[in-house]
Amino acid sequence: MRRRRPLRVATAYLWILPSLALLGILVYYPMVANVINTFFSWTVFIPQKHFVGLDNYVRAFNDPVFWRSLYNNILYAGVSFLIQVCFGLVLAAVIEHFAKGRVRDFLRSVYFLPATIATTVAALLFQFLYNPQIGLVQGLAEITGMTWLARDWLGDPNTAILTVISLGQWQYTGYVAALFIVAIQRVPRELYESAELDGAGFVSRFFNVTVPMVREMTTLMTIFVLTNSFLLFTQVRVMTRGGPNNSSQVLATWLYQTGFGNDELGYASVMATVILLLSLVVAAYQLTRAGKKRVEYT
Amino acid sequence: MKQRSLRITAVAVTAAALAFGGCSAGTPDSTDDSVTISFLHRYPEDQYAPWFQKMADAYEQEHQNVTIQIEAVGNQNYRERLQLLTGQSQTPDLFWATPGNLTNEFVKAGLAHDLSAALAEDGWQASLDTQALAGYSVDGKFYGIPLQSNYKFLAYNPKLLSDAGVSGAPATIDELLTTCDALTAKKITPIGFGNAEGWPAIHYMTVLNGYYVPNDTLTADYSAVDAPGAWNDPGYKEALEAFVDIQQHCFDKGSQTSKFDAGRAKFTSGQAAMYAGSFGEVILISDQTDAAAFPEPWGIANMPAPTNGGGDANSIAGAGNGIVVKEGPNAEVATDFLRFMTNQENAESFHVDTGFVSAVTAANTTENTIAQTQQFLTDVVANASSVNMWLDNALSTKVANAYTSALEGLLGGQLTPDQVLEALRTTQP
Repeated sequence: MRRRRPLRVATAYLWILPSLALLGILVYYPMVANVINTFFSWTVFIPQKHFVGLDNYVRAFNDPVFWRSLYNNILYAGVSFLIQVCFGLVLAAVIEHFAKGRVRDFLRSVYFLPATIATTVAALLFQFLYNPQIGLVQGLAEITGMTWLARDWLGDPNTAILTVISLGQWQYTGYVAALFIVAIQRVPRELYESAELDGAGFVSRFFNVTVPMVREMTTLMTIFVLTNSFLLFTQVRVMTRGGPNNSSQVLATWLYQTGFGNDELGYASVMATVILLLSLVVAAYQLTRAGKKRVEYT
Repeated sequence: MKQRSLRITAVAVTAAALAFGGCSAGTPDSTDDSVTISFLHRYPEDQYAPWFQKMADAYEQEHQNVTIQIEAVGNQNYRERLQLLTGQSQTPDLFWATPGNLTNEFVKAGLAHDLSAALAEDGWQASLDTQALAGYSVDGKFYGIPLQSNYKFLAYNPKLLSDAGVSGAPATIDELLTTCDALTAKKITPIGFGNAEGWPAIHYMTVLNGYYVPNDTLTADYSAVDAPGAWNDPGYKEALEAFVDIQQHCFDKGSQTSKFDAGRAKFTSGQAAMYAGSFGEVILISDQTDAAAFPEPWGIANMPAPTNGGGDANSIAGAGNGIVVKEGPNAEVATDFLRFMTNQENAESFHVDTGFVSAVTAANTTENTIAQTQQFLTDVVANASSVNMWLDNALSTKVANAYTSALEGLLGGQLTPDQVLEALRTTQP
């Protein structure tokens, strides 16, 4: 038996070899190559790479558009956490506890529906919605007299990124809420009944039963939302192209602009590396949280 | 044994076929060698793409050994696609390329075929619009052939101008501003304008810089390669200030986020009295004009010029648009196909089928050309003293992108003309 063991181990490695090779070629090699690329300068027309050391990082450090992009990503992540995760959980609890029968089914569908629309299509719809000449928001401002609504939302550097952020919230809050509803449905009913017997109202039950019992889903949704925030691209590209005057750039669109627009591939690699690092931080958080025990009421 | 020998024979035959196929010399009329050439252009739209396919089919018909593989990518993503292919060492044998920075990059990289010798044969060069061809000249050699001539013009609706008490197109910037005020007073949008794509603003600046800054200064600043241009001529600031004036007097609110073709739609539907377009849009304007809004045909004029600018008030803006041939074994066939596309007969069909103005000057006849185009060619282009290439072509890509972003800031009121110029002075080409 002992003689066979090394053979079995070798066979096992043989079985996982193809997937390891694919993972290495398609995931890890590009990641490592990208980090190496940050130390070089080259273009598609002059493919000979020229070693520049940390110049690309120094340049990013001094590039106001890079910082603006990072700020916009973090802003998107912060707003998304508050609205999609926190508000989404409240929304799920409200639907689950107050709406009944067909009304509940209807509301679930209504809130979930935006997530089924392609992001590009949704971005185009929002572009029309906020159009200062023919948009619905403009029409609403004229009808209601709310003049503060009547502005060029996407053309104003102060509001362009906020307008883009609004799309993400509209599209994914219902999706997150739908997943929270599933998590809430798995919470044992006895816990709510016990809390009710103890005189706990909806708010108390929400904070003392719902929130702790859906903690795993909350972690999952937080990671989902944060990861999406740092990979943000399509909405910005379609709605503003990062403008006006780079005010709504995010890391992925600035990567695209420097790489494909300006043909500065080494510098674009820095953006990709920063996105990678941010994603790794989120992944590390996920691994830490996954190791902790779930809350159990006994 | 028999099977094995059969296999060996098959492999040997295939290898020989491949070897001979790979050695195809690329002469178009040699029937024993097959040649496949790749062709990338930027007109996938139904109104343009069929002409390119028609040309490929006709050429293949005449040259049975040639296969032309066409790929069309829309304007907005075209450059990225071309760069991606180039980065993968798959530069097409023929590709659409604007003159200026894009063509220059291919020339510097040794990827563009020198067409000077071919142009000298059979009067090819003489048949082309000199100004359009000039854009493809690098160090005295030609690296591209323009298919279309493309110049900036001001289209106007005589009826709406008349309603505002104005007769004819404004010739000077002061007249333009007065006209815009008169139109605004009548609740008519003076100029249909949309800058969502970024390039419409930089095309306005192409015109204005030409009017306010001397040609030599423009050439020096635009062609700066190793270090940023000086951008210190006072005309640059005057041009930016004039643009802000035009914005404040003539553009609609929200033009920052409107698409450029929404500006054209405002003009053709009779909501805006004027529109600054380019030759590629003439056919669209003519096809789309609402008859009720245009009791008189729309008019065409050069962009209004200042009376006291330091540049050339008689200049026009624009350039040719055409095709570059990749340096390589298929260059000879590709050049021959390019010559085929620009022969008199095919240039005429290009003009008629697509509506573009052909760079083959004889192809735009009185019979087949829209009256406004004919008028502009005769009255304005023929008498222009200089042509300013579109800024987004003339400048290095990085400077052009910085200019585009800064102009968004200028139109949004976040940047002053001085800050725009400072952005240009600090952008490494």
